[in-house]
Amino acid sequence: MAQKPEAFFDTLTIIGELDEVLGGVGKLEIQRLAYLSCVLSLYSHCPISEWGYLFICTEYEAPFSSYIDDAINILESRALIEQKENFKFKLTNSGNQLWQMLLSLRSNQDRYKFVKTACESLILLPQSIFSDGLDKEPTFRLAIETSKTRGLLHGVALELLYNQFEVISKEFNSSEGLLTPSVVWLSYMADQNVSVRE
Amino acid sequence: MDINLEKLRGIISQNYVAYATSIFGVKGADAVEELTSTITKLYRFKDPGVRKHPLVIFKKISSGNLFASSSNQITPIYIISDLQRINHELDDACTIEIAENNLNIFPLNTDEVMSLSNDSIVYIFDNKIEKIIIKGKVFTLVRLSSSLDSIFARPTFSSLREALENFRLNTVCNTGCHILAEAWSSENRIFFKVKPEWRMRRSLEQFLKNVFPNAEIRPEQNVDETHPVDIKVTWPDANQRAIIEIKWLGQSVNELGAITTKYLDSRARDGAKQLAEYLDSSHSSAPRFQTRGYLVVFDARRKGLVGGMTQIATANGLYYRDREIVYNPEFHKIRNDFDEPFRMFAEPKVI
Repeated sequence: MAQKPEAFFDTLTIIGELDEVLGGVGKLEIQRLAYLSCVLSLYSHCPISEWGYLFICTEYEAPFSSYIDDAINILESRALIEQKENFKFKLTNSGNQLWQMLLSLRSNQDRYKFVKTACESLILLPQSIFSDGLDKEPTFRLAIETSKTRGLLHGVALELLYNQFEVISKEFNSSEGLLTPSVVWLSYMADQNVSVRE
Repeated sequence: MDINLEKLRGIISQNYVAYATSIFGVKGADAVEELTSTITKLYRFKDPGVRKHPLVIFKKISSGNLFASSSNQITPIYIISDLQRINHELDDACTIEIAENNLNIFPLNTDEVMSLSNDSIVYIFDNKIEKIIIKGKVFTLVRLSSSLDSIFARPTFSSLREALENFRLNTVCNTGCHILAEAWSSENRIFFKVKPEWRMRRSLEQFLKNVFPNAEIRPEQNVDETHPVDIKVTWPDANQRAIIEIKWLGQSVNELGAITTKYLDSRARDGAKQLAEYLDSSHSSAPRFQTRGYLVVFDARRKGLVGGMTQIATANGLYYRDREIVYNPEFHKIRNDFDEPFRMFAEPKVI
């Protein structure tokens, strides 16, 4: 299967952004974060065809991209990332150098924004709210309810996601960035506030 | 799946990230991100659960040292550049300023916290209550469970058994979870409400999601079409799976206080048998995974209960606290895929 440079960039960025904060990132988290990054690109009106790779819902009901999985395996085989305790991945020095070089490319700036926001959302929210919220993304939810391995982010349910984003985007100023819409959408879908104002 | 605008605006109004952005724009979001990343990193090395004194951490919106801007410049008592080398510098009540390349530590002055928030995002941790203050507005972070000392601390457990033990001690024993609190018919925790199972499952599911970020946690999954289990936990990296069967013991009442259901020890034994059967199905339908079964029993047995009772004495309330359930057969001793059943006694409030 042909490799996708986007998947390599996303994997390096996710691990690079969360390496120090969380002490490493596991495969499932990388897949979920890549998925949320793609969802956030849709919020910003990027066509799904531009993301570079697609996702399916697996037998154990998680979003999965074989290109991300390949990227993880290849990066590890080339000692650009390494697996530590508890199956968590960290960047090696070489991996960090490669990542920094890729970050400097103008063509990656938009993509970096989506992946960075996904990682920030994971830090800000309790894991249960993050994963509950993502589980309720309409195309993913349909895949779980019908118990079939199927492609995500396409079909009729994708229109539901766009409708949700259209409503949410009207509540925020686009110049204020993606983080607030991301956190609010996840909290709304998880039906759980992360804070209460006194 | 359509967005309810009223509900959405309700969430936005309570969300501190939304507030920070509305007040300070994208700089507010950046400051929130840096503050929360720093807290998460810090709590990897300093467990908030053992903290005895208040902690304040702030990130200024604009550049510069907030304390240095005052006429009486304050010198930090410590400057930390490597969190891994922290020793006892943060043990006392203190204020941490997130500077460009390090953390500046000052003695805590509670009088200045509100004024700090005029140009900073301020975090306070005090007695396991967490707050974010932004321009004088206070947001309390929702504490999902007593098992989780901070929204930013990620407890790690070496096994599911260890995690379940933590859940038993910190969440079930004294009902330290708002989901579980809703399962009781009254705050004295004598009877359950009708059909409390889904709250028990939801409470445990939420806890497991927070402590095993690299596992898929799924409620009410079909092992095969005829054998549902309560929670399935899958670790794809390790090809391991746990299936958790939940049973409750005790009595439930309806809104009028009449007893609707009464479950005794035999229900736990039925659960063990069910779980053994589920495991047999699981091995044949998902042979790729190494599957292990866990029976979790929420034990709310009380002695001498009658319908309408609103209080219970210590002797009757805690009568079953240390009374273990006898299983026959003891599947955990004759099967190597069946973990020892977990009995989690939920204590009532006694008089």
